[in-house]
Amino acid sequence: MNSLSWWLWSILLAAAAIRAGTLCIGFLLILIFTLVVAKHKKSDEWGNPFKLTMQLALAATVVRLFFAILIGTPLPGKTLISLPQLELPNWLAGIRVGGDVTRERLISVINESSKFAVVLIAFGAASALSSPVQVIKLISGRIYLFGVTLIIAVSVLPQIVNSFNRVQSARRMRGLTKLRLNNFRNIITPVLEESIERAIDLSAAMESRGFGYSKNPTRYRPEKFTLSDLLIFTSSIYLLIFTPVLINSFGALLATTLFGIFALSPLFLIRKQVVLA
Amino acid sequence: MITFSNVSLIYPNSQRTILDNLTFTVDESELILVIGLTGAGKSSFMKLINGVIPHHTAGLLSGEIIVDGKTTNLLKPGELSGVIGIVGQNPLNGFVTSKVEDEIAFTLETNGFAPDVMRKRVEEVIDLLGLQNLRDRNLFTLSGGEQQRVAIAAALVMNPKVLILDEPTSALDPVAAEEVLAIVNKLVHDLGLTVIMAEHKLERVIHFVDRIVLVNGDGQVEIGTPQEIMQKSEINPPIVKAAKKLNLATIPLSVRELKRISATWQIRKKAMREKFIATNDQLISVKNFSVAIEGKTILKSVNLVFNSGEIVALMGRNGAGKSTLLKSISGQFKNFTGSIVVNNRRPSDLVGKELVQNIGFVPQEPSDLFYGNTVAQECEMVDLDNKLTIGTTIKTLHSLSNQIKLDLHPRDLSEGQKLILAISIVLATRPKILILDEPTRGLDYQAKDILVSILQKLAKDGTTILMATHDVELVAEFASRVLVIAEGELISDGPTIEVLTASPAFAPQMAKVFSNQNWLTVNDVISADINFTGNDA
Amino acid sequence: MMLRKTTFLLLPISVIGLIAFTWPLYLPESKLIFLRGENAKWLATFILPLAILAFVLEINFGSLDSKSVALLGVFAALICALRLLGAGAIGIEPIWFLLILIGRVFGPTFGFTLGITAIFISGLITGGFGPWLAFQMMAAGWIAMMAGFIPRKISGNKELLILCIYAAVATQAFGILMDLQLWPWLIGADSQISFVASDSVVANLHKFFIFHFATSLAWDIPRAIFTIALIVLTAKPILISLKRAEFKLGVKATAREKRQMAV
Repeated sequence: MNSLSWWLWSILLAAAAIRAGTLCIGFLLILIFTLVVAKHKKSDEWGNPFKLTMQLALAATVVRLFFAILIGTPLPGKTLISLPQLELPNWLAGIRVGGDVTRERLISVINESSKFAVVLIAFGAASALSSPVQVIKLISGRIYLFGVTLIIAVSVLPQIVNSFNRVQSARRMRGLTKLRLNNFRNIITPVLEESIERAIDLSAAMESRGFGYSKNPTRYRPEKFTLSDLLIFTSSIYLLIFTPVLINSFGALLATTLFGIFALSPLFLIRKQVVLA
Repeated sequence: MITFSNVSLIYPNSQRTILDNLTFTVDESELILVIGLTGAGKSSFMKLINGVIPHHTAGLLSGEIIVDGKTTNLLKPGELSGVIGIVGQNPLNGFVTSKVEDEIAFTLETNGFAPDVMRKRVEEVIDLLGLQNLRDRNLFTLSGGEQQRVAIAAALVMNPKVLILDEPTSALDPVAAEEVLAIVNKLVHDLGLTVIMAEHKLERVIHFVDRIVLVNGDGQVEIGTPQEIMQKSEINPPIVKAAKKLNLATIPLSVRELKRISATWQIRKKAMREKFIATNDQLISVKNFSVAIEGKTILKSVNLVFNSGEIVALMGRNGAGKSTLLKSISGQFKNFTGSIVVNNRRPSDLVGKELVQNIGFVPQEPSDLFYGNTVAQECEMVDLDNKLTIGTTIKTLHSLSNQIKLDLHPRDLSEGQKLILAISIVLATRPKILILDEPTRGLDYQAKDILVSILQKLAKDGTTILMATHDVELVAEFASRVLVIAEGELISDGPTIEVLTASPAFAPQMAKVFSNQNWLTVNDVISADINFTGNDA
Repeated sequence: MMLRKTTFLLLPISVIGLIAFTWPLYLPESKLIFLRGENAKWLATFILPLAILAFVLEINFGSLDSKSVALLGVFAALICALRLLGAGAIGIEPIWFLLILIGRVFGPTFGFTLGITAIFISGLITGGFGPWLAFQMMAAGWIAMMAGFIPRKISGNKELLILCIYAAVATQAFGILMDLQLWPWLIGADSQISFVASDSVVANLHKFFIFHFATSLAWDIPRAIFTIALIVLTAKPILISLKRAEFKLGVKATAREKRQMAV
């Protein structure tokens, strides 16, 4: 499926979740993203972006909770825990650390954090589901020269990692084993030199092939848009628009179920792709 | 097709004249070979043709170069991309994308071709170069020969009239080199392209080129037929060298020509080859060594023993597993089953001082070892790193070569000089074993001769040498024992003379010509007593 | 070649960027819904990428050529590789020293472009997309850009000293900027150390620095020390390599050299 579709799907779903504002939908979405990524993700050459974002989202939530419990402005309501209070001096703005932690406070923080977490996870899912080169081609469009810069960076990256490995190997064979700060310079210098040589060769080769001379570079394989892309896009848009209606009229459970079904559409992709454009 | 008129070239900030008042013409559909020592200026000469010098790389140019009616002084290289295609020495460095098909299409995309024209041309070029099975592959995972073909494809897709190839086969094993050269032949004879090619390994190409351009490095350039240039120049493949030393009337250019000339010769007495006597001192043992990467078997159940003092060549196609074996013996690669013992230790256990006193490893890319700003500084750092007396490494360097200027940046050295510097760095700690991984890439005959003499001297001093290479001529000169790896298995292991004469794929030129004489090198041939019927010798 | 060429938009988008970073300090009370408190952070998150896009458009249709494209691509990959390897091996990202040194040699425009490209690529590769990405891009761009304003003539130990001082200042500034950006997101509008829309700049700054204090100890100071150490250790060889590269990529021979040729 098209990389653009994955991104739109993720963003629209995240937007819908924020509009809905309930915790249930938030959790549901996280579950959905996990399922879809597990089924459709492309091979991870650079580690697992989705796992990384999950960890980030968790960390962000924990930090937010931490700050809220310790120094949040208390919301009136039912007190759950009572922490010892500590008044900080004036030059620290007279903040009251600790104090009563109310249920309303906790719920409000969790709601806020979940919105942020959903956005993060949506982006992580989209990264895991699309290929960097496709994304670059999509967004660079008419910005050809800069697009090629990005493509070069992505293509050359494995070679540079390989440079580092080779230099490390060579150092080991020279008897130098300890990786101290001191020795960093002896690793970065050969890699930098090699990268510069590569850039010089590359620019001569590109120049010889005619790079930068034509005013209208074209695309060999324009991205295909299939029926699946259209259907998923449409269902996400409807979801976004009708979320408040869903929540208000049908009650939380039913709304959640309907929401889930719509959002899960990528799991049921049509086998035979009908190309639209 | 191409005309040079009074062309002179000097690099700014340099004293050296690369070309001095050169005037000559390349005809249509000619196959021109450019030869010269490394650093003489072959690449510069070729880069002038499409204007990379002076428009992209700085160079002071006087005179005029006209290609297909267009003069390069006024046109930038990009504007000539439809007329001239050029492939540099390191094709991987010239790739923009990561997939084969994308890379070939990139040239057309960047020139603004319509998508249907692009599809057609890309398909044609993929067929022409036999890349059908590779079209979705990642460029970084391809072999050297495959990368070379993709680079040629990316240039050919513009339907140029001239193709310039800078050392296309220098990193390739003989089989891959044959494939590329066959393509070059096809391009010239079937498609009528004009091809200009630089090469060091003349034995591969000299019999089918039209003319040779010899770049001397002092500004002088000799141009003539292969016969003429081989006569004038010292840069000779083994067959020509033998023929010249034997004072033959005509210079043969191929195995076939010399075979026909020598058909009537009588060999009276063969020179005795110095018999190599191995010690009984087992230094390295490899037992049941197997490597599998991602389910694919690279090497299977290899059993080997190396005694101290041996000079071993490890041969096989690129990708056969030679590097993997050497890296496992030196302790860099650990993902294998089986056991390797080096001097009673496991190689992966060796670190630091113990490691460098046992094993010296010269990597495939000698520059990986360099991190100084000058040769002198590099040597000094070796002394400091290994706690040797200052000056040890420089002394080692001077014992190998006194041509290397100490104030040059290590990366500005020629390929041969880089190799010598790398060997010096590695030898400074007097290791028992010297391992070299494919050292012959980019080396000219002169540098190879120097390498051979260095290795022979080291062997005499008792160093055990292991070298991975696919350069048969080099192996014939220096190795006492040859191992051949193919399809993951060790298929040959024996004295050089036996292995190299056993199969045509690994036979040096002299062995191919004189098939029953057990001769491997030019020296073998010229030190024999031969009766040339009809020729006073 | 993009070397030392200034662009028209660099200044305006830097100003926009600065506002996008520092709005919590002086945001006024507003009737407009999207300027109200929390919502402003979404506005800033959308405006910044647009500003960067405007800059990219300008250099794409003006300064970029095969040399700058190749150099930018390769350097961006190098910085991304350092980020990946550094994060894996030692948990810190050894990229700032290189951005500073490259910016110093190749100039503000090149440096800024490299900063935004490198961070974008590493975000793309690792999937670490978040509202902070555009801000990190801009901040990294600034770090390289400001290093480009160090006068060319300075060399030797004086150069090294200035680079170290700059590194200390720049890494602290980076920490402050990223915290400013993170402040509304992480703390929200309902905490005792949140920004308050109608308050004075001083009052908001006060609250901000309390927030910043903790992260400064944990991250900014180690980052500054690490970067300065790397600059001290690697500046000499890296500057030599970079200046050699600049020389090798030069195109036009000077008039004097042309005259020498004719002789």
